[in-house]
Order: sequence, then C-alpha cells, then structure tokens
Amino acid sequence: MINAEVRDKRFRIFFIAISCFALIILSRYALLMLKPSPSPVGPDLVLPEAARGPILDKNGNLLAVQTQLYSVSLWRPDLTDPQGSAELLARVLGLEEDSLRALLTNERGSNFVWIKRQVSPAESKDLEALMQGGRLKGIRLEPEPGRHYPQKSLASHVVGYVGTDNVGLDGIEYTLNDILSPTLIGEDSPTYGNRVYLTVDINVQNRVETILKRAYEEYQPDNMMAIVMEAKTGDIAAYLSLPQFDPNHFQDYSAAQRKNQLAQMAYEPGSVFKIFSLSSFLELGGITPDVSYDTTGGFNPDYFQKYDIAPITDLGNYGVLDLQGVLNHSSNVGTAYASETVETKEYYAMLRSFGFGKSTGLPLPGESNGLLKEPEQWSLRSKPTISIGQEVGVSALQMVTAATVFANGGVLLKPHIIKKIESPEGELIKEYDREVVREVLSPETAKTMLEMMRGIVDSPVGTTRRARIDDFPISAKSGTAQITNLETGKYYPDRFTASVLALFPTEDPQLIVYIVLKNPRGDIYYGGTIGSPLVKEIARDLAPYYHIPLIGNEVYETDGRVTLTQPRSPEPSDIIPDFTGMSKREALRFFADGRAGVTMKGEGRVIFQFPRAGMPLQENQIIFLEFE
Amino acid sequence: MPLKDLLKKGSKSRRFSIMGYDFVLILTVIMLTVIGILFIYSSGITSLGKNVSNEYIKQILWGVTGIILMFVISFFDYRRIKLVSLYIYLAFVFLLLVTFLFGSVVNGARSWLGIGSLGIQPSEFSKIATIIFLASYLEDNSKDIEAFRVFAGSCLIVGIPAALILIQPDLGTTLVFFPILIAALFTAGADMRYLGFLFLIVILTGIFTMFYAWDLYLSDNFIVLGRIFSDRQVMIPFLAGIGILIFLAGLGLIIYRKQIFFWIAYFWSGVLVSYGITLGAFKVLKGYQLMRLVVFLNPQVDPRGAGWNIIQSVTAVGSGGISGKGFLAGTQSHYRFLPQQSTDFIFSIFAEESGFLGTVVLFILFSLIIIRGLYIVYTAKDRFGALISAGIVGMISFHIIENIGMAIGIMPITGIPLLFLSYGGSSLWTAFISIGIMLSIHQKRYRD
Repeated sequence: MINAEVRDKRFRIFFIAISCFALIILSRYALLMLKPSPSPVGPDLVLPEAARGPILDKNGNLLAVQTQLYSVSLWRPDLTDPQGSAELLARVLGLEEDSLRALLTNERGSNFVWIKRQVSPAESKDLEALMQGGRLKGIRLEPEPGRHYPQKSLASHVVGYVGTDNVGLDGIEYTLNDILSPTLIGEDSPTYGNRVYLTVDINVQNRVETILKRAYEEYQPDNMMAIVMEAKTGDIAAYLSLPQFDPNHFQDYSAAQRKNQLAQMAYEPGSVFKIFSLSSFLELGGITPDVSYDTTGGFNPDYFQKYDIAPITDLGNYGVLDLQGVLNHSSNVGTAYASETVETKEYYAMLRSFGFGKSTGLPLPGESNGLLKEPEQWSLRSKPTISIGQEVGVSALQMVTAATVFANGGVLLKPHIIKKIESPEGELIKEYDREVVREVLSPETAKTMLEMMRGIVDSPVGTTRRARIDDFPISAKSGTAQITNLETGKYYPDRFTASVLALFPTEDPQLIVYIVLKNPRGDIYYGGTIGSPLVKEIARDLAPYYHIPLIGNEVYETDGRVTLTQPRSPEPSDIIPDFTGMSKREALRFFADGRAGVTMKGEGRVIFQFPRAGMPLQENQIIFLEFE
Repeated sequence: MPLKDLLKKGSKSRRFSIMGYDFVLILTVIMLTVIGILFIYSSGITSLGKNVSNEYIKQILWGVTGIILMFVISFFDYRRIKLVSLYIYLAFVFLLLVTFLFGSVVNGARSWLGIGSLGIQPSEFSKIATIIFLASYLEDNSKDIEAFRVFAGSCLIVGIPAALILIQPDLGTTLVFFPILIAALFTAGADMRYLGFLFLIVILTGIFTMFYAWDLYLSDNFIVLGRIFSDRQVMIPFLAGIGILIFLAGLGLIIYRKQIFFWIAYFWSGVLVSYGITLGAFKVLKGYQLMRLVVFLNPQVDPRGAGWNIIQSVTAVGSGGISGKGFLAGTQSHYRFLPQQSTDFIFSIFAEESGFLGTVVLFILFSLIIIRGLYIVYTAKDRFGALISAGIVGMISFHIIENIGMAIGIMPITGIPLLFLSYGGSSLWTAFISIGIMLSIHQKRYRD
C-alpha cells in the first residue's frame, strides 16, 4: 500500500472532483425543475402562417375567403378549477353547462380535448379577456384556419364548401382543392394558395336568383335549375340550383339541398330536344324547312301497327304543318315523321356531336354523362321517340352547352366555369378562353334553326310566345316532359319537367338561358307557359347589362310617354330619376325604401342607367346602374 | 473507540460474520432497484392509461436473481478470484470478439450474444472482468507502480476490451473504461505525470471532438480553426509546428535542465496524441454518433432528429416541478415523446413524475453508494480489494454522472444505463455483481 499521506491526498482530490460533479448535477436539477414553467407544456400546435386561396367571381368579388378563427381546447394537466371553468365556458360559448362540467371533471379523460372549434371572434375575445385575468387555467385558444362565404347561398353549388380542416368537400372547393390549398406546410415562410376566378358574375347570378326564386315559390317544383351562359365564350355567368344552401353552415342542409342538380341530374328533356333533332335532320339533308306533314291521326307507321307499338300523338290536331309549324306547336307527330328521313346511325352521330351521352367536362364533382343508348340498342320506336326528347337522358349542362352550336355558326364550344387562376402574387397561371370543340352544323343550318326558334316566340300560337319582347328578337323553345315513375317504369300522369331554352338576340346570340322546373305543382305545368315569362324577365334585365341594344322596348317607351301626359302627376319617387353622375352612396338613397331593386356594375359615378330617367317606377322593378 | 474495538473484536475470527455486512449499501441498492421497477412499469403506460409492456415483470425477475447473485458473491472470498482473473478477462475478450463477429444487432450496435430470446451483453460484464484483472495486475506490479511499463500495461489491459466495444459500436460503454482505468491507477499510486497525461488526453480529445463536430454539424458559419482537422494545407503546418515545438522543448530540457521545458513538451505531446485520436475517432465513428455526441450543446439545431432526445428529456425533467406530476401521471413518457424511456431515459420519467424532491432522494441514494464505495476502498484489507473497489466506484460514478447528465442536458448522449434503475438484465446483474464483490471486500476488511 502506498503511504498514508499520499493516500489521503489522493482521496481528497477524488472527493473534491466527485463533489464538483454532484454540485453541477444538483444545480442543474434546481435550474430545470424549480423554475416555474412559463408556458404550459403540451403538444405545441404552432403552424406556419398559411392561407387557402380565395374563390372570386368574374369581376373579383369574393365568394370564398380564408378566415382565422380560434378553437377552444382543453389541456387537462394545467386545469386547476374545473367547476369554475365549466361555468365560465358554458356562459361565454353558449354550451350546455352540465355536459361541459362532466367533460372537465372527468380526470380519466383524454388530456387534450377540443371544447368548441372555430368560435366567433366575439367569443374568443371574451375568453381571451378571462384568460388574461388569470382564470380558465388549462383552457387554450388555438388559431385555426376557417372558410367564409360572404355571398352565402349565392352560386353555392358552384363554389362548394370545405370541412373543418379546410379541405374542399364539394364544388370548386373540392375539384380545385389542390390549387386552392396552400403549398407544403413545413416551411417557415407563410404560404398561400392560388386564387380562382369563376366565370360566374354575381350581378347576373343575383338577378337570376331573384327572378327564379319568385317562380320557385309560385310553382313549388321539387327543384329548379337555371343557367345563363355567355354564348360566344361558353362562360357560365349564372348557375342556379334550387333548393340551395349556405356553405357557411352546410351541415344544416340535407344532401338533396346540397346536390348540384345541374351537373348531376339526368332527366328526359322533352320537346326542347326537338331543336337538336330537327337541326340534325336538316343538316343530314333529310328535310328542308319547306316539308309538310299531315299530323292528323298521329304517327302510326306500318311497323308500329305490325308490332303493336303505341302511336306517337300530339296534344291536339294541328293538321298539315311545315317545319315552322311543327316547332310552333311542338308537334311530336311532325318530328317523328321527320326522323324517318335519316339513318339511325347518322342521327346518333349527330346527337353525340352535340355532346349528348358524355359529360361536358366542367370541373364540378359528379357530373352526369346523361343517357344516350348505342344505336344497336335502339328499338323500332327509339328514333322517333328520342327525336321528341324521350328515351334520352340529359343534364342541364349538356343542354345549354349543345345550344352554343346555334350561337356560334354551327360550332360547339366547351363550357367554362373557371375564368382564370392566379398565383398568390397575382401572376396569371391559367386563363380559359373560348374553346371550340367541333363543328356540328353548317352555319346555314344553325341560322335557320335560330330563326325558326324566333318564329316560335313571335308566332301567336307558339309555345314560347310569352317570352316575346317587342323589337327584341329572342329565340326560344320550350318542353314539357313527363317524369318516369322509377317504381313502375311508367310515366306519372301528373308529373312533368317544364323547361325552356332561349338564345338572344337572334341575329347574333350573346346569351343562352336555360330554365328547368321539375314537377311544378298546380294546374300550369307547361314549359312554355311557366318558362317563357321568366326568359322574358331575364332577357329584359340582362340585355342592358351586357350592352345588348334593346330597341324600342314597347312596355317602357309607351309607359314613359303616358307618364308625361297623365293627368295626375305621380309622386316624384314614382318616377325613375336621372342617376347620371351620382356616386353609389347618392344613388343608393333612392332605393332605401325597398320598393325598387338595383343592380350595379363598376366603380365611380353613374354613366349609364336602365330604364332611363323619367320612366314610372314599377313594382319590384330592378334598375341597372353602371359606374365608371 | 469502543465501537471500533467492538468491530475489530467481532471480526477477529476468520469465519463469516453478519456484523461485517454493509447494510446501508445493501438497503440502498435494493431501494434503487425497487424504484427502477416502479418507473419501468410507469414507462409502459400509454396515454390511454394501459400498460403495454411486460418489461417490469422481467426486471423483477432480474432484480430478484441479481440480489441473490449479490449475496452469493459476497460470501466468497474475493481473493480467490485473483487466481482466475486472467482467464476470466481473456474469456470476456474472446466473448467480445465473438459478439463483434456473430452478435445480433440491437439499436444499431452489434452488442448482443444469445440463443433464442435469451441474450446477454458481454460488454456489460466485461467491465467487471477488466476491473478485476487490472486490480490483479496492479497489485502484482505494486513495486514498480510508478514505472511507465506498468502504466502502459494497464492502458493495454483496459484498451483491448474498450476497443472491441467501440467497434460494435457502443461509444457509451467504451467511455466507461476510462474512469475505471483512471480510478484504479490513481488509487494504486501511479505516477501523477502519467495519470495527468492520460487525463489531459481524455479532456483534450473530448474538446477536439466537440469542437470539430460542432464545426461540422452544428455551427452556422465555418470556423476557420476547424480546418486544422480537415484541410491538409492547415494540418501539415500545424503538426509540423507542434513537432518543432516538442523537439525544441526536448532540446531545452537536455541543455538547460529546466522543468518548464518538460511541461511544454508534456502539454504539446498531449495535444498531438489527442489530435491523432480525434482524427481516428472521426474515421471510426459514424456521423450520427458524432452528431448525437455534440448536439447537447445546442439541441435546437436538429430538434426533430439528433436533438429530439435531449429536448424531450429536458422537457420531461423540467415539467416535474417541485413535487412532480405523481406516479403514473407523467405525460412526456405516456405520450411516447421519450425514446428508450425504460432504459437510457428512465431518469426523465422518474424526474417528471416525482419532481425535484424525488430526484434529490435519488441523488442521496446514489451518493450513499459512492460514499460507501469510497469507504470500502479506504478500509480494504489489501491492495487487490482496494483496487477492485476503486474501479467499481469509478464505473458506477461514471454511469450515474453520464446518464443523469445526459437526461438533464449537460452531457452528450451516449446511451449508457442508469445502474439499478434502467431496464436490462445484463446491466442490472453487472451492478449487483459489483456490489457483491464490494460487500465481500468489506466483509473481509479486518481479516488477518
């Protein structure tokens, strides 16, 4: 053994060394464990700033926008006063106090619990104040991105909606989710999604909704659809499916209310379909406008009698009809005779060429292909039946798209619901312009059909005569189709799909309007009777908005003159004033009493108004004002 | 001193005496083992409050057998081991070699040897084998204890198993051999100059490694000095400069016989050796090991990778507060934020659930082991016993300091168990065997 002195010295060295280590460890203990923890230790939910891109209308009005709302969560380990907290939370958040107390006092429950997600700004402000006062320990406010739809139900079937985690569930929010979503989370810098501009114009949408909702209440159909399309571009300006829903609270609505009928529902179009059939027969050379058919006795050829097939009949006996007559009376018999002039396969190819039997490819979820059977599956009765719009399923989108053929000299356009997509920095990523799909008709055939459809409106016996506006040429065809009872496979005797398709002005159509009412209640169910006045109202409202000259509108002009000569001078407010040069604020004063509505376009001062100044104000009249 | 007389009197007989037992030590290690089992149970609890692990049952088994083993060993006369110490040592070197060649890989290191589900980590037991053989070697060479030959021999004895463990690679266990060597040499009375040199190398190598690894992995901007390890254009003049310095100092020492020249040469030689070891370490060690080694300096550099363990562990310890969250109520562990929570980071769970007061109790228990261990070194009857005890104290101290130090973020993460607490049969048995040997040494302290 080494000597005692050295041994003791070495022991002292070792002891000091080990004591130093001990002291370091002890002081580190104290530093770590005795210092009061400044913030609750829980799973941190710090996300980088990120925002889903907005959805805007054609003119940049917001339809969907990112919001930052707070969600209230519980971090149980920090909860000190469950009773008091439950009472306060119930009061501020408007929740059931008993169930909240049960949640807060349940010590075996999960440590992290959402109490209420996405509370209103007022609620989160109140909670914040309480927290700063040192109450509500263990309750936290987590910022969560939300989605707000400032236009509420307007065009809601196009826009769609998102779930709680800001993932698109329907409409454009769903189909363009990847484009709208912010790019990869995980970077420190804030990320934003792209902006999507729709072709929908909320001014047009608003007008159409106002007009159609009135009809919706009057006729109480199962559902109702309307599309307004800009004829030269294929841009959908208004897209309405009734009943509708508010995407801010989409959970409160049934699936039926949220269903996008226009794209997803296939139905028998009825007589409107005759314009596609007859123009096909014209194009194929089977008929000319000068044909004449004796419609007496219905369409009952030999092979119908041989196989005991029910004859095709009309509502009345219209006698001998030429093509215009067939259209005016919407004669099934005449159309059926005309169908005899073409080959089945050629007719089928024409219908495919119009786009039937295939979805239009709009970026909306669940678009229907419609139902157009292959010619091999056609029965003897199929050709005449399809030609009058039965035994064929279409979607409203297909109908309105096919109508672009007439407005574009025989050329089919691709429909658009998206105008353009911009990056968060405002750079244009993609823009959708007029897209030609194929030539379907010769320009002559297209023009002939347009003129004949105008003839229906102008004819005193035409089914769409109620759409007539003097000196404003409208082409329109209506239809009334029976609805099939899905249980029996037969038609309901008393349920109809009433519809009308219109293009105007006839010389160079700018707009296509298509309106469908499924199963309107009441005595009136004819598409022409119900739909035509709606077309007229829409045309009258939208023509000035699209700068389509309304030459000498009879109703307004005569009334205007009468006003000046009326013995009893009307109240000043009963006459439409001259808005020219007014600001929006000044102009809006006139509409404060609610007797008249207003559609505004642009910013600045009024440069154009319709109807013009001095006209008498009619009930529920909408005045259009353009600002610059 | 009536008590001392009494003790002396009582131990005069050669027979085993119950009075010779160190009951404080026995009680302490049993208490620690029980605490360990309780918190291994806690580590198996998930956030749903269910126990998903049967590790605590295995630990009870190993604990009970370990305690029996401890008592059995304490009955033996430790001096008899000396005769076979060389063979035990060689056997374990062989086992380490076999492990390296055929062992199974757990957590990235080839450190397990076993058949079926039964496995042992030879590296754990080889520490005791090395301690015993080193003690035997130093006792046999006690006459020349200050000679360089003995110092070098000791380094070789420790170096062989340490190197075999390093290539597994298990850096933590390798490092345990340094305190064993230093403690044994220190107690044996080796020349302080050699010991100092060894210490200097350990410290400098540590600094160099940290420095270079910091430069490689943590630092935002390139430190120019880091280039002395990587850039040949800097390395060569640096090494040449040191070489010339040592040469001149040696010359000065011969000519002027001044002590100052010796210490200059001494220091710079240490620098040179440490430099060489550091370069070697960077060749042997893998990037992730180095990263883990230095990341404790700034865990936020890689909070989801290498820094994760430290951040979570420090968070767990810190969230314990004064009295802790209560047994089975820790959240860091039950949400599985902590990796290896039943083994390397058992202390974090303990601290989170028992708080500052609990850790102080644990600290006192470990201090008792070390103090009793030092007392046994001091009172050991012979050199062999004293050296074994010193090696064991060195080993246990390092385990405690390193494991707790890493859990509270002041030591690099090297992954060695907290003796008696951490889950694991090999380490628990190693600990109990060590205590058993110490008890035997204590028991025989007054033997004639």
